[in-house]
Formats: sequence, C-alpha cells, structure tokens
Amino acid sequence: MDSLNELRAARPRIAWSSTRQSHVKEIVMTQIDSPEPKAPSARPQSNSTRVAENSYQNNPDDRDRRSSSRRLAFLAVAASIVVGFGLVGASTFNRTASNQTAQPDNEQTDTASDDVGLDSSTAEIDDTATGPRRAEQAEVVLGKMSDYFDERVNDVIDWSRTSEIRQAADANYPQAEEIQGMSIVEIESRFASNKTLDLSGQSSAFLLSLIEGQTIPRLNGEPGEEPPVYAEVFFTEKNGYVIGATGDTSDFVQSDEEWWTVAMNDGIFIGNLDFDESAGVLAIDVAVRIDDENGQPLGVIKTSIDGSIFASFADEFATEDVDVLAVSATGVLLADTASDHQFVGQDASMQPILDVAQGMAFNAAKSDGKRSDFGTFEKSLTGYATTPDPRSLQYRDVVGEQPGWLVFVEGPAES
Amino acid sequence: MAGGKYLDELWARSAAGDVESFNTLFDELSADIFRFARYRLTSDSEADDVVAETFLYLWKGRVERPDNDVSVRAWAFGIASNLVKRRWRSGARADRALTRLSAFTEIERISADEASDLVSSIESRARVRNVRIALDRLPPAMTDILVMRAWDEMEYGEIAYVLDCPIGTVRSRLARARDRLKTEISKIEREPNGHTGHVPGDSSNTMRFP
Repeated sequence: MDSLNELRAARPRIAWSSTRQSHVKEIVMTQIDSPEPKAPSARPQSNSTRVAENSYQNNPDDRDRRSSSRRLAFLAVAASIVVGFGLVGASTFNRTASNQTAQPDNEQTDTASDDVGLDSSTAEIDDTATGPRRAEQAEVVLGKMSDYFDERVNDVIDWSRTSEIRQAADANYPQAEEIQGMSIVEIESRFASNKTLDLSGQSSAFLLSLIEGQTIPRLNGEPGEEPPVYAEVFFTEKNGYVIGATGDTSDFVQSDEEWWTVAMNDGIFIGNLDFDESAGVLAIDVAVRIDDENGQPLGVIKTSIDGSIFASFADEFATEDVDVLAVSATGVLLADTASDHQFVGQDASMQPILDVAQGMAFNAAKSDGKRSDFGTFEKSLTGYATTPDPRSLQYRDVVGEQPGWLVFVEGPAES
Repeated sequence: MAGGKYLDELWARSAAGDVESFNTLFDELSADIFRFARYRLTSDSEADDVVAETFLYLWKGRVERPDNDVSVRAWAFGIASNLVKRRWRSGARADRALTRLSAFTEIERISADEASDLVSSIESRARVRNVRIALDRLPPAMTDILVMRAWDEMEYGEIAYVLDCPIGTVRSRLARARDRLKTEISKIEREPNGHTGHVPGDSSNTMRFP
C-alpha cells in the first residue's frame, strides 16, 4: 500500500462534540455582532462573557466550558487588535501600565480575569526601570544588526574596486565577441556547461579567496556547522555575461535580472530580506556596479548575504525570562528566541505570528515615528527599536525601499 | 468536506456583510479547522480557541483580505497554522522548548474503540501503530506536510499557501516525505522486539511537530 494511504488509514479520529462546536460558534457570532472592540485595556467583552455564562449556567458541572468562554472572549479582543495591526491605533500599546488600568464592570468579568491573566491589568506596574532597559536592549540588538549589514555592503563595494575585479571585467574575451547578436537562449545553450567567460578560472579563484573562511558564528552550533557569510559571489562584464563565480550560477546571462539593471543604472542594488528555499536561510541580495577609475561602468558584482546571524544577535540578549524577536520592515520574521527561530522567514505582518504586544509595538513603531520605546500589555513589557524609518535604512543614496527591521525585547513587567 | 467553490461563495457573501452566510461558513469549515488544530495542540480547549480566533480573523479581515487569489479554506488553514505556531511559541517561552503535539487521550480512546471496526486483525492494528511510530520519527517538517495531506485532507494549493511555497515544492517535499515514511515503516517492521520510541496516540508520550 502507498505510504500516504497507510497514513490515512492510521489517522486518529477526532471527535468535536456538537455542543462544543455550538459553543465556539456562539462566541464567534456574538463577537461579530458586537461593536468593534476598542482597546485591549478594556475588560473582555462583558456582553459576550455574560452570554457565555448564561449558556452554561444551568450546567454547573461544566467548569471547563465556562473557563473556555472567558478565554475565548478575551481572545476575541486580542485577535481584533492584531489583525492587520490597523484596527487599533498605536495608542493602545500603553506607554505605562496605569493607562491600561480598567475598572471591573461586574463580578463575572472579574472572575474571568483569573483565567486569562488579566489580574496585572488592574495593578500598577513599575516599568520605570525595566521599560527603558528593554527599549535600550532592543536598540543594541538593532544596532548590531544594522552595523553588520552595513559592513557587509561595504565589503561588496570594496570588492568592486579591487584591481583584479576591474581588470577582469574590462578584459577582452574572445567568447564574448563570438556571441554578439545571438539571443539569450542561444547564448545560454552555448555556455550551458561552463557559465563563465574567464576560462582560466582565475576570476573565480579570486572571488573564493575574498570570502574564504568567513562564516557566521553559532552560539550553540556544532563546529563545522557555521554557514558562510556570503551565500555566493559572482560578477559580470558590461553586457551581463558572468566572468567568475564562487559556485554554479543559474544563468550565464544576467542582464535581464532586476538587480543587474538597477545596479548598472544606480550603482547599487539592495534586495529585500527573503527566505532562500534551496539554502534554507534568510538572505539579502546585494549588487554593486564595477566602475573603472574614471567612473565608467565595467560590470556588476553580486552576492547574497546570509541573514541568519540575526538569530545569533538575538540569542545573545535572550534570557530565561526575556525573549528577543526581530521582524523586517516587510514583515519577514528574522529572529525569534522564544521558538528557537523555528519560524524565521515567515510573514509575521499579515498573519498572527507576533504576540499581541509585539503586534501593537509593530503598529506603534510604524505610526508614531519613534525609533525606540516600550509599553505594557497584560503581564509583558515590550521594548522596541526600529531602523530610522521602518521602511528604509536610507542606505547611502539608494533610491527606493531598502531593508529595515524592528527588534522587540519582551519579558515580564515585574522583572 | 464542503466544496471549495461553495465555501468561496459563502465567503463572498460574508465579505459583503452577510452574517448568515458567515454562520453557514462556520458550520461547513469549523470542524476541519478544529481537527487541524487538535492534531497539533495539547487539548480540546486550545483547539476550540484556535477555531474561534481563526473565524474572528476571517471576519475582521473580510474587508482587507491579504490574499484574494486563494480559497477561503486555504486562508483559514493559513491563519490556523499561524495561531498554532503562536501557541507553540508561548509554550516555548514557558519551558524553553516547543510545545509538542500531545498524543491526546481522547484520540487514543476513540482509536481503540474504532479498532474493532476499522482494524479487524492484529496485523492491521500493528500496522497502524507502526505507521504512527514511523511518522513520529520523521523530521518535523515532513511530519507536518504529511499530516496536512493525509489527515487534514488539504489540497496541494492549500498546503502551498500555508507553507508559503510553490505547489511544485509541495509535491517534491511530499514525495520525499512519503519515501522517508515508507523507509521508516520498513525499518520498524524489521526491528526484532518492536519499537522503543513514542507512539503518536499514546497518552504517555508526545508527537513531534515543528
């Protein structure tokens, strides 16, 4: 039998009782019929809690379901906060705990707080020391990430100015003349077995010498497991034909790639942080135009910078109680110590990967223009820091959106 | 399982503000979401929460839906998947380790009951047990995609949406996972004294998920 069919046959049967299903449905439909919840500082929607209570009040043995009612009512409010990070303004990420203090409106909701952990919302939390410290820690992690990235981009710029690269890009290659006037398909076919112009291999060897031994340290990694800082490096001459590469490139002709045209026109291209499926790592494409001493374009050098070091930066600051999470400006999860970085590379902005507090911090960072701040939600206190503009590092004179990131440091408010 | 087109029609009406259609959509889809969550979380209560949150997200997101080109079923699975992950993260914060799927007692009890109906021989029962053991020995990502396909009955496109990868990648990953599962089953069957590891569905153990 096919293994998938065997697996189907081995499927555990799950029973969701109609009573339970109806109960959950009642909670959902009550919530969507209610006016939009306005702020997390409010108690769980008392109306829905009462409805849920009433639906079970004749069944005193069903304590589990009553507890579930309260929790679901709270989750409904929380869900409405995080969706799109836009339904509730930045002001809901409370700057101080006193702002989120809410008065219990009846005995039932007071009891509900026992189940959902709302007790702290009625107490004054002394965040005067811990809050700024969390924000400062977020700034430090953010600074390390930005400095690291800046250094790597400078590396590529330096490479583009080496005499070896310039000479190789400016050299005359007989094969390049032979393929003039041919279509890209024909050229690719001709260079299918060796996708470089420099048949001596010297250019590729030089590139390898530039990146040799550069690996990303792992705090808890086994020796030999460190990934390379640069996933690959290669460069082209002015027509986009590859001259040398540290590994196999997918194509010989690169002039039809966006990074190539942008770099040739603007001098530099910096891509978004993206998850490289084949390598299983986060990477940022960086391409720099190779100019001669007079500023005349000779070609383009391109590399992919491995972004997994962000996880190491986050690990340095995480403790037993405090977690560090980083998200790119485009919403890609860069580091998450709480899950040992299991979900890195996933979209955190459109789906509820972020915790409620982090979601609100994300919203606050995007809307209030502050580069660093902190706030409380429930029992957690979150400090955050962002690049100058979450949408941009404003890297040199590069036009358009550039990578940016936000760092959250989250932990208990009372520590 | 309700047809995707029917669900999408319900969703279209829901998105226009028709609460009754959303009510029907809940009836048609919620059990699938519950099972998806229940396979991956430790209790019925948690799975209940995921269902409720998923539908609230759907409702709240009806105006500015991020992915209009995918079915509502795939979108709902995507939301539920992320909610499950968020719970794993919360679990990790508590004990510095990912929460793993509990081999819940209720499932085991039901499985035992159904054994007399569905698994009529000792050999077949052993085979089911071996398949579950083999599943648990796979890398978590392989376990997840196999469960999505075989237990959650998700289409390739739905899995691709949830995993955020092309359908071709889903096919190749599934093929590798199936081969690996087959290999593991063979290994277990060759083990002289049976397995010594965890049995998914055994309440004393837990099942690994990413």
